[in-house]
Amino acid sequence: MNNDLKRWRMLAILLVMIITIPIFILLIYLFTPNSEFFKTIVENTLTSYISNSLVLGISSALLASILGYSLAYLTTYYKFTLSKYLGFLLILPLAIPTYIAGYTYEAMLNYTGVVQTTLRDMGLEVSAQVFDILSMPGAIFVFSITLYPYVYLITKSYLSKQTTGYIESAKTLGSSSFKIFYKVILPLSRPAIIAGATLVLLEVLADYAVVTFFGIPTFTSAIFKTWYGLGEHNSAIKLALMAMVIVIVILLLEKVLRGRRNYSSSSTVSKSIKKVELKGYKNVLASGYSLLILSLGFLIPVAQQLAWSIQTRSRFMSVGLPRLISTTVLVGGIASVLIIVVALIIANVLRLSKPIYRRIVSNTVLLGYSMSGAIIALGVLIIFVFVDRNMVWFYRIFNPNSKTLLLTMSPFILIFAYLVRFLAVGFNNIMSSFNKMGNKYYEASKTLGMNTSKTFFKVDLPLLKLTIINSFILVFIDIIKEVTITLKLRPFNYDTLATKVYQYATDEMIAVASYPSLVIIAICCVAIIITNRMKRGV
Amino acid sequence: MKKLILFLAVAVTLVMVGCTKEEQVVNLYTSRHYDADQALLDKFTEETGITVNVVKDDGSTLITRMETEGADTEADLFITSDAGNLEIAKSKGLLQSVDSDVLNSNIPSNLRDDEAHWFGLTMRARVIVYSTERVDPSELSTYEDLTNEKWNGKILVRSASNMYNQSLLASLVATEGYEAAKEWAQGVRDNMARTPEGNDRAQAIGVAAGLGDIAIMNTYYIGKMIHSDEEVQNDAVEKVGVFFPNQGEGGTHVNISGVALTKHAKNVDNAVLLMEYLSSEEAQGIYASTNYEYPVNQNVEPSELLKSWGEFETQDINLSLLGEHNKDAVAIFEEVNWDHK
Repeated sequence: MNNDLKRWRMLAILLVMIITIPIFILLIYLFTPNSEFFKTIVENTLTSYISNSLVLGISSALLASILGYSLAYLTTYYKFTLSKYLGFLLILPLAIPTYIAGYTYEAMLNYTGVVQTTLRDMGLEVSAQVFDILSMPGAIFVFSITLYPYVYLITKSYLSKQTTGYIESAKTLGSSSFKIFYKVILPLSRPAIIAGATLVLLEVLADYAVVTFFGIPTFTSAIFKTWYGLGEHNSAIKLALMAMVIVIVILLLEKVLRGRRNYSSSSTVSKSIKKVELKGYKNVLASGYSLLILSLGFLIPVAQQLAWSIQTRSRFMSVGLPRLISTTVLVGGIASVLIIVVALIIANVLRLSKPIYRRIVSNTVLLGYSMSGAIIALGVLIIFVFVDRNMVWFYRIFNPNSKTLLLTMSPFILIFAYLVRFLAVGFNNIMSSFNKMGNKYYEASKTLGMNTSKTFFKVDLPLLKLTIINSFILVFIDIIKEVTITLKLRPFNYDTLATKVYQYATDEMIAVASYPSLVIIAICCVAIIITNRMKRGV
Repeated sequence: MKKLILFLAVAVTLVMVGCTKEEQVVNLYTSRHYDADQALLDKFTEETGITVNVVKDDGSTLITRMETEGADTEADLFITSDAGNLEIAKSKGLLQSVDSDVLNSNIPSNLRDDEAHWFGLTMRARVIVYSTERVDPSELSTYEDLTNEKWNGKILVRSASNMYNQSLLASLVATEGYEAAKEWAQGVRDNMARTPEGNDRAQAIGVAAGLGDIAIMNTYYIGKMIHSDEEVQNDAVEKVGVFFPNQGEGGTHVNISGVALTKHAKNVDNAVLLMEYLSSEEAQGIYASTNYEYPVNQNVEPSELLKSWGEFETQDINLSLLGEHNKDAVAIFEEVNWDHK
């Protein structure tokens, strides 16, 4: 093995260690004695918390997969009215933070909301129960309608890249189109569907804002009750670690489900797909269905936000948008770039390692994504305070009056915490692209005498350009929407668009929250549009 | 590559270290998140030239944050919207006492800590709102009466994770004991119109919508609904009446927002100045008029709306008991399955 590769390895190992320290540091809390309350929870309500979490998580992931995959399938293989635009527009629900969608739908559907008031104005007596969205099915709806784009994006890029060769072979062999779907396309897409569904599942399990508002006692709410209600962060962390174990079990099950099957591209150059044009009722159904999902996931919530922003226009100036926007975009942008760089380094090393290492590291990185942001924040805080205390001599060389907690009270703590939390989003994408690409280019390049670094910059990066852009956007959008970590770790006088939305929402001023909400949505839309443009250019 | 990273690290450190200017500051960790508070702090800066730096989060996480930061914490002041968290911070040794004649004369002794570790700033009452169409207020009497069968399927209340509910229950633990409080919680739970969901305003809206007949909520939200930009909220709140329970029978439950000096405060003088300012007539007037809270300073009148509800008897307990019994309250809510079907 040459030195260059060794250096890559060292760097990757170091990075993985640094990123996982905040999670592993929490393990020491396992050895604190159990409090009375911890026992009360375990005895009385624990099973209910767990089953609520599982029902919510699995149902949302399932529904999101059905929505995401069906839409990806339709827009990849068929031409129908508006399909050209829908292919892109259907990503947009990702721009709406789940908690904003939740608050918006509740406000629209409750007694004072637009739906019931309109019906009453029309002289119809409506039972308020019918429109009560604050329930388990309501939450499943909100999660799947806003998170399905994860499945949609991943399966769509998979379908358009991977399947042409197989489909053509199947057609040549005379299979019917249903049989091709059922026997060829669906099994081929399984890894991509599962990858997307896993993201949805983890996002739901880590959620706090929506389940609290919807009054669904999930595992996260148990964690927060212990922490906020009792000030017992020991017990809260123990519960969080229990949740982590459950997530690990799910991930392992998923691996078993996915099996050992591995498909690599049948031809080096994938041919473009010849789309079938839908006519008649099929056309109406396809575009009607896509439009319905787009409306529910994007158009309706945005319209309501716009209506609110007009209603509360007198408060526009007091929101202070310019500063919120610059903070959000700047810190989010830096963190996203960092995440992509780290993900690339780790993935580049892992693809040359044994599969077992690949699996271990992939799952370790996923831990951050599966844990509640608040718990990660605590781990990160402990580490930063420790580092600061041991580095203060260094700070004081430059400024004798430097405060001790220099890094802890700076945006760097947020950037690092985002890295721990969202690395999985970027990494998963990049790793799977490396896997798909295989090592043939790398080996060829090696044979031509290039070392790992040169190959990485000259061969791999250009090949991965599309994935990198995609991953960057996914990560960036996630960070822009993030609220829990930001609340727990922010320095003085630090507000992002998301924390402002959260502030107004908890202050029960959902209409005023429409300004920062709309800006979040707009930024995410712009990001999505830019990537889309760049993709076409590639 | 390595050189570049090193260079960047040093550059960033220099920039950050260089940024610390010498100026008069006071650093605040607060769980109050109202725009009115920011306006108050801006006024303070205008009058004194002291910059106020703010971190906002839940009271409990701020406590954890201060614990983790230890003696190095940058926080000088800690403000929460409930007495419970102040008491918890005190019991964890995160606070120190303040000897200020201004504070002592502005704030009545029952609204500040016996050992001067924390001081009340505003009060809110946890009242019962009822449907003016379906409920005759003469049917209402006490919190205890909410367990009466006649309210079966009629009570709306938010989740157990809400601090205001915890404090109310903690006050019952303090006055009537653990078992009685648990029976009460069980009784209310059995009478709920739905499993708890939504926030305080949602409960009032629920009453207006006919999902239930009565709801437990905080007074200042009623003020906010009346003055909301949303017409629909104004309409909903018109359909509910406000009832102060337990008059003549122990008094209505009130909780405070309060401020405390942290043990490791580095800008003590500025911090005390800000504490005193927040208890002043000017600041108390702003709390009262823009956030519909009851001022603690007796020289300041509550807002017109609050005055229109009349004077009421408040629960006569030492507020520090709310913190002491908070754990009991959270445990009881779990034991009676408050949030679960």
